[in-house]
Amino acid sequence: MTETGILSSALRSAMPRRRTRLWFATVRQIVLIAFSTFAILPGIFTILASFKSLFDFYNSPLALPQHWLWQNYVTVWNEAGIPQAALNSFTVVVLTVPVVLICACAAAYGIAQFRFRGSNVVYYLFLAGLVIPAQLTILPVVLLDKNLGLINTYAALIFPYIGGHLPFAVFLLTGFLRTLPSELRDAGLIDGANEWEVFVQIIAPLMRPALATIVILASVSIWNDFFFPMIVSPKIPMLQVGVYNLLGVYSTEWGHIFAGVVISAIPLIVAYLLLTKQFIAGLSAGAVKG
Amino acid sequence: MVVTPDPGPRLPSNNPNRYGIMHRIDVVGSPRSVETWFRFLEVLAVLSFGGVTLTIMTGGPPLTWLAVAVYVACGVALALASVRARRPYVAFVLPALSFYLLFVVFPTIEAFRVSLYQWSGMGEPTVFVGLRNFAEVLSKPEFYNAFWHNVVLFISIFVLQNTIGLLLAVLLHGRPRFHEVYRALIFSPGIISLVASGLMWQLIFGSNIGLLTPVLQSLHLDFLVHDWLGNDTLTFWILVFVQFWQWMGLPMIIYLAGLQNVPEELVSAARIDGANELQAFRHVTFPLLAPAFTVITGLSFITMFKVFDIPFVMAGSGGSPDGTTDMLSLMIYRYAFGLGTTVQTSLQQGYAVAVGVVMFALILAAATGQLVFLRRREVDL
Repeated sequence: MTETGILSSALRSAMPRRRTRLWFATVRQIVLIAFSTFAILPGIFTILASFKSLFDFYNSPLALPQHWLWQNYVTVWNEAGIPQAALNSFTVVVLTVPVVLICACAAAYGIAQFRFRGSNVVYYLFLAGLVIPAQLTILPVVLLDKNLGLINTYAALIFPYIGGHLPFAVFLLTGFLRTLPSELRDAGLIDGANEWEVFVQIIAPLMRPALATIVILASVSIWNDFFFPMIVSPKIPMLQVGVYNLLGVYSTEWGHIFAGVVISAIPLIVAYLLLTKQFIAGLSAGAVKG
Repeated sequence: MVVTPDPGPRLPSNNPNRYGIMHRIDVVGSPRSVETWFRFLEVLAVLSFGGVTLTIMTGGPPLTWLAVAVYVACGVALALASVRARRPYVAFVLPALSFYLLFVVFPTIEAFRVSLYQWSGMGEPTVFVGLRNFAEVLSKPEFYNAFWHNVVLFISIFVLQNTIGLLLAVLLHGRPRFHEVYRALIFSPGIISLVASGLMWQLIFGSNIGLLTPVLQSLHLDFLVHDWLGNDTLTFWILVFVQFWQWMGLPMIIYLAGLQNVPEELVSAARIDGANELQAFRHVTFPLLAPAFTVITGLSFITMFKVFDIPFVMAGSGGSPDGTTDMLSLMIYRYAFGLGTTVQTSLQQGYAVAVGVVMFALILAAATGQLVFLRRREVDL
């Protein structure tokens, strides 16, 4: 094709191309709106359902609630032990996450900045923890809790959670610390700091960006965990167990059950709205661990 | 899955500086007595770990508490001694390592041991049966039924994630208006707990309160109405659907990150050379997304073979109806804890753990395969 041929064909296609662009942008918006709606529609139905009376459920399932029954929330909050269960979960999160952070930071520092004999063995030992399925260890962990006399205590949950969240935290922080030069530590030591001061005052502040990921991932997964608390602490119900138990308490009072579901999800939704980017980064990083 | 940087050349082990940079500051070796004391504590710590595991395997408190106290004391002593013995890294690694050894490594090894025993769950496992649990598990049609469902689930999620997930990523990559809102909304089901999402989908598909049936009836599409959660084939596909819904945003995020790493020049070069947008995507962008593809595939394999939550909440531990939604994890649950409502007298914990070991082997194979695959890809790029 000659040069003029190319030019004229470019001119000819300029108009339709703009129209294609517009068409593409519209389709793109429609598809994205459709998937966003698909993602949140069950949540919206749940919120509507939480205000309904039993009468509404059966007689006008598709309509908005005839009377917005705030009473559902009041009843669940007062009767079903949801605040206590939420407090239990919150306590476990608050006691677990800082221990995970401190232990993992220290371990990652030890592995990444001191090239000692066996440092890689320790590193790979932690990495192996990323692929151990919970279903494999659940029975031995229950036995462990039982023989340590921890069943029905916070400790029965906290210790296994700490162990379970360490591999990912160590993996993430070690990768992060390996990018730091070892001269930082040398400089600190020369200036007269001891090992502990170097770690606390020089290295730990540098790890702050990676910590958000670990905090979010650990908190969300502990807050949302159901199976493990159900087995080791049936008498101190954690939040999700409390929500599941609503099915037994209000067998067919669906309005109450969904009010409980909404209450249990509110803290996470609020946190997600405030820290969307960190949540997406943290949860995808956590999922990649497998 | 994980590529670790090379730790660099090691110094010969008879070199006084063999423990790395710490000796650069102070090359004076530690006094012999400190060294001996440290070695002694090291042996003691290992022995105390053995002691803890042995007492836990055989009995309850207060003996186990005593053993744990000794274990902790040895750890603290070792950490304190490590500073004097010029091995500060021991003090740093030890807290995490002791938690991890006791609450993850020990249960894993214990699981392998228990899988060789016939054990009802009462008391300690005592009847050694060798590999018989594995033989029995692998001879049951129930196992292959559950395994097959995991395979189908993996394949369907694999297809959905690599088509719809990729499509969403491509659409968002052009940063259309509101793209951050869309991204946040599409990812949002990922923060919802399994109990909540199980109940939420009851509201759509459930037999009493489900909204789908009245919707179809009001549209006069009665022939489409089914017993959504009690149908031999349909229920399984509903589980696939819900599973996809919950983590729809994940492949999108991974592909989006992959797309952002594709150099713009390559795409524009292809366009200048006369490729249309689709051809440029097919021949330039897509091959560069290979690492994202590998990660997503490995990820969906691992999660779909571990999957427990959604099948458990929506279809129960028996894989109702009639085991058509049974999964390996549900099988483990049934053997370990019974069917929930009915009190089972003869739990087969040994079987449960044997299934768990098989599952672990599958996941480990997938993770290793992915590691090898990723490495090879990286050479290619």
